[in-house]
Amino acid sequence: MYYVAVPLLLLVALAQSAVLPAFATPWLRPDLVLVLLAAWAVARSPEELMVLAPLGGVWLDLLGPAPVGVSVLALAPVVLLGFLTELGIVSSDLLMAVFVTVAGTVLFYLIQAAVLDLSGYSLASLDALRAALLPGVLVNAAVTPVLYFPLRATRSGARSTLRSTPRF
Amino acid sequence: MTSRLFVWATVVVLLSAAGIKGSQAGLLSPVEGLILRPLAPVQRLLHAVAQPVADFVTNVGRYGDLRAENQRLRTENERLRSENAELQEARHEVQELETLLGVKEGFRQYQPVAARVVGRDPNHLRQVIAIDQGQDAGLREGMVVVGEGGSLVGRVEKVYGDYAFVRLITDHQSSVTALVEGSRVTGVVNGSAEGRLTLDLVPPDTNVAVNANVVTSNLGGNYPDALLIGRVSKVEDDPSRHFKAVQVEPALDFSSLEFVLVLTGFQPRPLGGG
Repeated sequence: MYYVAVPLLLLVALAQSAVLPAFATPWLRPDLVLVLLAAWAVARSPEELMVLAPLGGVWLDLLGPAPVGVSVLALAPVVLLGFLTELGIVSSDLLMAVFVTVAGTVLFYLIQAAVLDLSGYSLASLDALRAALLPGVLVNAAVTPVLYFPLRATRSGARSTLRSTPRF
Repeated sequence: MTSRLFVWATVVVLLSAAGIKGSQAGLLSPVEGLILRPLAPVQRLLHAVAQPVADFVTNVGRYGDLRAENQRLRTENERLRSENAELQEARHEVQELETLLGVKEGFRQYQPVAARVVGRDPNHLRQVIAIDQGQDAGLREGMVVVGEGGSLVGRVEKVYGDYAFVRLITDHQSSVTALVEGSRVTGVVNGSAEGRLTLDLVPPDTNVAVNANVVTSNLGGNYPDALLIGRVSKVEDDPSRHFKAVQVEPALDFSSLEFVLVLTGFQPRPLGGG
């Protein structure tokens, strides 16, 4: 699985850094790595994310000027949120994936902003955070089904959860 | 499972903190450079493929605007054609003046290195682009970057062997000492979270005309003077404020930037500012 997942994450991170920024508006620039991980947690296994999320963060940090570790930290909550799927608190897996994406996006941006701030890159009045957060949450939520369904199709035998049938 | 998650979270936090400290200290730069070297061509290819698609999608979304802009451009084209006839006559004189002022020579002395834009910071909180030239071509942190036409793009923020990141002037941490052509009013052009430019610290009793060019000033020492930043798009006079609110439209469309020039020969004087 990791032979596929690791290059896939790199490809998605490359797309996030080289393809999506060509679109002028942030409303067309999803955080693909984050959405992929959130969808992965629900469609396949949150345990696999314990390896994949840090890797995705490393790729993102390497492709940007931020210190290596910022995105790794910021993506960590997605893993924790992913484990909520095991509790079965939401009746639909797709809704759960969207929930993990939305909550993960909020925490991703907050942690990124906090760590960048602590690293000396001051976010004056948190304007940058405010400008990025709402488009980020909405576009990420909208893209989640696009990644969730293909991942769900690959999950046979991948999950070791109590649930045996997909719910969406 | 809870204890396993706790151990995992602790390890991630510790490794991230170590990575951040290591990155800031430059300890990871060789590794980062090694990994980025083979990725740069891939980024370049992806960016080249994506740009026309993005332009198309963006333009479809702006159909109404484009119609209006098309009409405006037709009118402007007509006006420019008539102006062109006059300019042809003045061309010879301008060339002489250009040589006289040493504009071209002045620019050449900064030893510009051409670089292709291969990506952008995936972090939405910042306005940073990636270019395919780095230390091997003589780039250093803090160097000034201009567009193909000589308009100001930003400054080099981080450099690897053949790869560098440039912080755009629209980034909210960028600030450039500038002056308004014509009135010679000085101020500081600041980026913003939304990627807009404002000319700040302009006294209320000064005259700033809409459409006037805003260029770099040699005050501050971080940029060569007279690099075009943009033009004044809006001026708000509010007597209750200590300064005028001046908005500046960037001279460049940063989302479609493909090539830049890094002025490797210009030595910024570290007097603060972006």
